[in-house]
Amino acid sequence: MEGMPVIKERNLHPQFYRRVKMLPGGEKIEACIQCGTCSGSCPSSHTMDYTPRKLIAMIRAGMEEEVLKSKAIWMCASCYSCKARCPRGIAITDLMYTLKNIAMASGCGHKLAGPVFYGTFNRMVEKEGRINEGKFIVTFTLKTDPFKIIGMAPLGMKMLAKRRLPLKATAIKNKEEFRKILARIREAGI
Amino acid sequence: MNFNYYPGCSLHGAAADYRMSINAICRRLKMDLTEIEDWNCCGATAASSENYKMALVLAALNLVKCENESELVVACNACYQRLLNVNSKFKKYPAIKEEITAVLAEFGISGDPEKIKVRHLLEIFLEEVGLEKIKSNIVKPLSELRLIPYYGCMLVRPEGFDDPEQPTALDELLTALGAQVLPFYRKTRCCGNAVMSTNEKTALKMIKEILEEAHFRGGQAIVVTCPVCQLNLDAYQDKVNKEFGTSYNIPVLYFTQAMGLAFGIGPNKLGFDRGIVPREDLLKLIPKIE
Repeated sequence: MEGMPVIKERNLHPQFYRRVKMLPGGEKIEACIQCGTCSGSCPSSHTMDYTPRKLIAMIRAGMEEEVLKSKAIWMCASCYSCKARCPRGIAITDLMYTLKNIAMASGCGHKLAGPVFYGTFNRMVEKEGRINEGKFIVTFTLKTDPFKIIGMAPLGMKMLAKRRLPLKATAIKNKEEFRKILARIREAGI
Repeated sequence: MNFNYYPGCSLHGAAADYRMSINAICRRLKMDLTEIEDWNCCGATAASSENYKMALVLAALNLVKCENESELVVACNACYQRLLNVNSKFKKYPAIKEEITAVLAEFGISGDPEKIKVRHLLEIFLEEVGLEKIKSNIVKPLSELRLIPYYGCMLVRPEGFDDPEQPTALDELLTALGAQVLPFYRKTRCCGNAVMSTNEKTALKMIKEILEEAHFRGGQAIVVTCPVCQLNLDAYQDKVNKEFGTSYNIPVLYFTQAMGLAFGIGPNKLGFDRGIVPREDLLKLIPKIE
């Protein structure tokens, strides 16, 4: 965990704060009282460089790069505990999604495991319409840490033996239209 | 009773035993679950992470396949939350709704996703089938079993049919089956699946905390309502044990498998042998005589 970054005022981007406020989860961050209920409720905040509370403070200060390059946004497990407990009604989980959206669209931290994981998943959905869990995990691992495959083999074999790892591909029928719809939405941006 | 049904990708993969047990108990309860035509992936946490509009389109595409004013039953917590979410998101962000409806209209897709009521399978058993009818089907009460009810996050958060932190639906169902349902503080604490592949250490710690309490409470099995939680708590116990020097060996079953056992349905029809942590020892605690 790190303290709030100290940066020169000219390196702040107030327009980043204005942009986030317009996007899902960002609407109410002005009302944040920095109580830290979100960080205290978060099951993964102990591994974050900046906790959710700090991230909100950093957004409000306009620390665009520091927020978008943080590892914290990829550590959110989307459990919605923060959103359920925030006394100011801030949809913090949605805010984390929005930060990931902006980071992925701008290519920030594209080499981190998080964005590669989500990108690989989404490309498979776009291609097939459905996810084959085994194929997805293997594809992702080959992209990020090929040697890890060896360590994964024992569990893979168990899953196969328990007939929980279907080898045949799963896909929707109407792929062509489905792909066009998703392409059309991605074109529109966030 | 007939319902539109969205199984989700896992039920055709790692959660084959969930699918089998759902089919078996629905047959027994004379419920027809009709899979919606050519359903697509809900997008899980991935679509929302890259582009929230993509997440809404994926969910909406499934919803518009149902008739207006009808209900859609979902078995997986993650799919349930994704599909359920469309309604509140469309209400909160009319401009986004308009944009997405316009894109779908370009492809000749009409239908209003807000007119579909999304419900979790557990909710259907409690509110539509009813505990009385479930009790009347019990031939082998689970009175020898001490069970941990584990709900996971996305059954009740951010929206749902029960309390977001201390729900009781699963407790009520398992109690009706005759089981000893143990108090469980971490019933909605996250299992960490979303970060399992990207930050294994963190996910293992999250799993460990759940297993630790389940063990401390004296649970003989953890009962789940979601294929994602099942896989995480079941398949990674080995790794948790290696990482933390523990020796957990707690079977993780679906609530539908517990129902099937109580209904006297054969374990093979419930996919009972498909647990990574073997579940077979539990069968010794089920009464033999019907």
